[in-house]
Amino acid sequence: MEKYGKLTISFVRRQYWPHMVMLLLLVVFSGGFVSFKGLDGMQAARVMEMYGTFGGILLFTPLFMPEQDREIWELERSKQTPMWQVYLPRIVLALFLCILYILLFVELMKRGGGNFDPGILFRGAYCEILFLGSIGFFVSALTNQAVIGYMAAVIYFAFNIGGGKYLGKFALFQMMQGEYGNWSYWFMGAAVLLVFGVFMRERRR
Amino acid sequence: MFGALFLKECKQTLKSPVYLIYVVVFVLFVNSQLSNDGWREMQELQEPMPGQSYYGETITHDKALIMEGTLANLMEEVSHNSFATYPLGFYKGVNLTEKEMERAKEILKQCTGKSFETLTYEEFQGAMEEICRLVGKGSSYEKKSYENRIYVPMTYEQAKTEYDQLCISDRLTKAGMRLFCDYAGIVLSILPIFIGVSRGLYDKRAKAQQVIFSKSALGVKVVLSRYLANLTLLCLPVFTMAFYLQMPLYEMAKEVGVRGDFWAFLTVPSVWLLPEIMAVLALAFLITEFTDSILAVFVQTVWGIGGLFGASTLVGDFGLKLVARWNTMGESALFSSMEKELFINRGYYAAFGVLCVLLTVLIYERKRGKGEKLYGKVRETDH
Repeated sequence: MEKYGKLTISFVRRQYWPHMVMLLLLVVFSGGFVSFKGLDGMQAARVMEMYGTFGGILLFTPLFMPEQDREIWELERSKQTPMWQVYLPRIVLALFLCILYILLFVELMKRGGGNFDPGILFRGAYCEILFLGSIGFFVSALTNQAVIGYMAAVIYFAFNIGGGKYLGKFALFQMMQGEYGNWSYWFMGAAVLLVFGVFMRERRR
Repeated sequence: MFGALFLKECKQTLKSPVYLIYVVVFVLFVNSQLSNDGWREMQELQEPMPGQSYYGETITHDKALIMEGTLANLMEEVSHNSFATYPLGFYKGVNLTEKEMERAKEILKQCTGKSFETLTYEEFQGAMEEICRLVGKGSSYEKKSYENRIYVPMTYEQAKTEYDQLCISDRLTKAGMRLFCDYAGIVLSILPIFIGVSRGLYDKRAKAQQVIFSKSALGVKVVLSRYLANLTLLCLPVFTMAFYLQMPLYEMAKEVGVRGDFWAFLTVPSVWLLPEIMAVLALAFLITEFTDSILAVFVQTVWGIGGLFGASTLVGDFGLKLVARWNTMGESALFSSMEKELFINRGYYAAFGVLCVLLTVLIYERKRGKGEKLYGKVRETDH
C-alpha cells in the first residue's frame, strides 16, 4: 500500500499538480462564467454540462504523462509492479477529485437558492464529466501524447454543440434539455474507455 | 540554412498526427457548413423587384424601434426571470432575486406605461442603465448592444442597394468568402493551439533540446523557421478549402452576369484569418516555450471558446474579438461601414502574433544560455 502511495504522490508532485491548480482555478473563476443564483434543474444542469465538464478533461487526460517519456516507462516496466497497478491509483485519485469537484459546484448552486434534485444532478454530471475525461484519457493512452488527448476531448465537446444528434446516447448536454436517462451510457462508455485505454496502451508498446 | 530548416520543420509537422487531425477536422467542419447547402442563400439570389411582399431584414438605427424591440426583449426576460449576459465572453444566464425582480418590473412599468412618443430616448437609456446594474455586465441592455441588434424588414430601395452592392462591390465571391471566413475563424481560434503546443514540446519529447541548442543556428532562425513552417501548413487547408468552396460561387456569379472576383479566396482569408492564425499559433509557441508544458491548451481554449460565445451579434461588432463574425451572405453596405474596424482588429492580432514570436525567440535564447531550463534548478545531468 505504501508503495502505491509513494508512486501516486510522486506523480502528483512531478506531473499532476498544475492540473489540480487549473481545476481549482476553474472553480474559483466560475462566478465570472456561470451564475449560481436561483437555478432550476435545467439551469443547474447547464452549469455542469457546459462549464463543469472541462474539469473531466483536466483530470483524466494527463494520467499517462510520466510514461510519455519512454525511459521512464521502460524503467517502470522492468519493476515487479505491473503497469496497471501503477495507473490504477492515479485513476482512483482522479475519480475522487472529480467527486469533490462536482460536490463543490452542487453546494455552490444549492447555496445560491437552487431548486433541483442534487442527487440526480450529481449522478448525471459525474458520469458525463467522467465520460468526456475518459475520451481524453483513451486517446492519450493510444497516441502517447496528452496533447492529442486534449484535442480529441475538446473536439468531442465542440462537436456536441451542434452535432449531438449524431452521437445517440453518448451525446453530451442532455440534462440541460431535461433528459436525465443517459447517465448509464456515459458511465459504461467511460468504464470501457478507461479499461481499454490501459489495456491497449500496454499492448501496443 | 533558413530554407533547409524551414523544409525540415514542414516535413516534421506533416508527419505529425496532430496536423492530420487538424486537416480532417477543419475540412469536415467547413465543408459541413458551406458546401452546396451553404450557398443556398446565394442560389436563391434574385434582383429585387418593386411590389414584393418581403425583401429580407436589416439592422435599424431608428430610436423608436430600438426602444420598442429592447423593451419587448426585456419583458420576455423579466417574465422568465432569466437574463442572458456575457460578462467574460461566455454565456451566463442571470436570475434576479425577488427584490431585484420587483425593481426590474418597476422599471419596465415606467417605460411601457408611456407611449413611445412620450418616452424620450434619454429616459429609456437611463432605465436600461439601471437594468444593467441589476443583471450585471454583458447584457442586451448595454447601449452598444441594443443599438445594433434590432432588425426590421427592408424596403425595396434598401434591398436594391444591397443587391447592387453585392454584385458590384463584392462581386459575389467576396461576400461568399466572408461567410467562409466566419465559419473557418471559429475552428481556427482553437485548432492551431494544438499544433503550436505539440511542436513546442516535440524537442523535449524527443530529447533533442540539448542537441539543437548546441548547433550554430541562431535562435531567431530556429524559432522563425518553426513558426513560419507551421503557419504555412496551417494556412494550406484554409486557402485550399477557400478555393474549392469559391468555385461554385464563381460559376454562379457568371450565370447571373456578374464577373466574380477570382482572387477573393486569397485576399479575403489573408486579411480575415491569417492574423488570427498568426496570433493563436504564436501565443501557443510563447506559452509552451516559457512553461515547457501544455498550459497553452487550457488558457487558449478558454480564450477561443470565450471569444466565440462572447459575440453579442453574429454579424460585425469586431472590436478586439479574436473571432471576427460575419454570419451572413452579403450585408455589403453594413460591411463597408465596419471595414475599418475589422482592419484595426486584424492589424492588432497580426502585431500581437509578431510580438509573441519575438518573445519566444528571447526565451529560447535565454534557455539556450542557461541549459534547457528557464527557471528552477539545473539538473546535474544537464551539464
